[in-house]
Amino acid sequence: MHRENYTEEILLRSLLGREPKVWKQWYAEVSPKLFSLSLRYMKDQDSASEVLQSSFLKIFSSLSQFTFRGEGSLRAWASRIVVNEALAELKRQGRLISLEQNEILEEAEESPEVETLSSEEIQEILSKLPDGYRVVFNLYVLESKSHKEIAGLLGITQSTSASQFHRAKKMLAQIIKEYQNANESTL
Amino acid sequence: MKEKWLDQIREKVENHSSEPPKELWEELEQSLLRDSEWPVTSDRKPKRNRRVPLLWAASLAGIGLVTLAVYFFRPDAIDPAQKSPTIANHQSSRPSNAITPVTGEDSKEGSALDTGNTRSSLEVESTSAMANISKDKASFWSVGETNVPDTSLERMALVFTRPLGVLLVSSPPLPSLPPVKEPKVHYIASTQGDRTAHEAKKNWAIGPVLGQSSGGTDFQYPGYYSMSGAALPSVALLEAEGAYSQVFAANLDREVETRVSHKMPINLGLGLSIPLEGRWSLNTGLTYSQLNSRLQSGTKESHWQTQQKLNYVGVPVQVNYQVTKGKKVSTYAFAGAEVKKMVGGSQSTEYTVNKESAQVKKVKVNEKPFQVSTRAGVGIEVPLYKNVNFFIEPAMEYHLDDKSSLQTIYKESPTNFTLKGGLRISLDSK
Repeated sequence: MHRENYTEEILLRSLLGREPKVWKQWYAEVSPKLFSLSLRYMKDQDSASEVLQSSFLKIFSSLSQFTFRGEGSLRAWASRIVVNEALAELKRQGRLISLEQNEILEEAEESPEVETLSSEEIQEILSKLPDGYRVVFNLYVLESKSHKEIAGLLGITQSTSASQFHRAKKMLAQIIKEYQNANESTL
Repeated sequence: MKEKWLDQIREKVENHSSEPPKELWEELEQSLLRDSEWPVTSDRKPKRNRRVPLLWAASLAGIGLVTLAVYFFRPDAIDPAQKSPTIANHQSSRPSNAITPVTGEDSKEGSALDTGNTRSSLEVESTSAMANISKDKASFWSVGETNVPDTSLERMALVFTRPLGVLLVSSPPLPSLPPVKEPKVHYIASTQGDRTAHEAKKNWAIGPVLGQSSGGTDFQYPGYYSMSGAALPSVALLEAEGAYSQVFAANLDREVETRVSHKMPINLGLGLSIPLEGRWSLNTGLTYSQLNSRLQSGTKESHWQTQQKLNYVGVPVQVNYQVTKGKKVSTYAFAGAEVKKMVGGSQSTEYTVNKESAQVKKVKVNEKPFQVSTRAGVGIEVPLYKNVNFFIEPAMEYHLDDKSSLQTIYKESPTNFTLKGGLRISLDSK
């Protein structure tokens, strides 16, 4: 009976009223998070904007088909649509093909120190990963997908997903370290 | 399974947000319109509401003038009994046209206007409190089939109490407005009004100017809404603590809807006329206006209902051109503008859960915008005492957007027909 349990469903009901004002308000509320999500996949602003736009069109047009499954489910559903749109766009741009072709970086640090990094910095660092690595990393770590699910989404095998993730992780650790070293030297 | 640093990355990234380019919403809006994702836009926020055909306005103005002229020329013909609204009610052949006293009655519908702040209060309601406005166009245009009278004159109820004229007008629904099921004219407690009249007689400088816009507006939407116009601002959720949730919980699996009704503004004021060259005169004064709106969201059993009351103080400035001048009556045309300032307002929200009041929350309206309007029309003037004239002027008014988030009748229908009446002091020495 806590209001938190109902906030999103009330919101959903309002959205179903198809009132432009309501949609705009909701857009203003959720778009920064979703744009950030889109950016994590697309890297560049233009593609990320494009993805966000097509995602919202999908979200709005299929709102009536969405089934509410508890607080947070609307947000999760919207995020899922953004991720799917981003993956489709990456595929369309041919940016997922290079998955297997990246060099392995073996000497990377195991556990870098990320506590001191801001979310802005993390976002920036993630964007330095090659597309293929970044996508697998995003799906596995941020979207909590299993390698089986990732394999299905990207049309690769589970073992490929696992090895891609392993490499992505190492590379990320190295990038973080380099970033911190660079920052220390400038200080 | 995952290393700690990865979890930290996830946490940080989840908190990250990035504003999308501003033009993105506009592009999205265009696409949504193109894809007709907003089919209801035209139906619901009736754009047509914003354009009142001039022909209608002109005919209304004409009818108003003729009716008034008839009354003013034959003041003796008025049956004293008609001063009693109740009798007027009985005389009405159509129940939908009834003039009913509001005092002590009708409160169930919540249609009685809170008159605490108004001295001489009257209310014209073009609809029974929650007229069920049909959303489909078929019934929208079926005005003629309902029991709405077919002539405008019949729908115009006039109550005249001497020495001060109190005008009550229920004009026919403009074609731009949704149909009203039971147009009602309420006449509220005339005692205060009479007192005002006496005071006005003693001191002509304090003459009330009474005005009524033609017809309030009513809207019905599916889903929940709040008075801010937003769906359900999280702020409201926080303010109301559990009440919103309770209403919501009680309405699970039920169709909910929101009904908004804006009542016609009530205007009180003083008028001053400064003669210019020839037939021209400059008119100004001070107006007090009260805007009342009500919103109910939910179901009949469980809902929240917000009563919004906004007070405005305004200064009108207009130029009058005298068309005819007679011993008993003069006519004129005018054009001008008015600047109103919202001086205070409140929103009182009552939460009802399963027919029982759960919580009442009253908040002050902090936004105090200026409201600018332009008006033009014709008027008639009747000399009362020395250079004090009683006037009635039907006008078309256009209200500019006040850029506030306040939901008012001015915003719902910026262009509307109004009728103002009151006292005007002329500085003309003649």
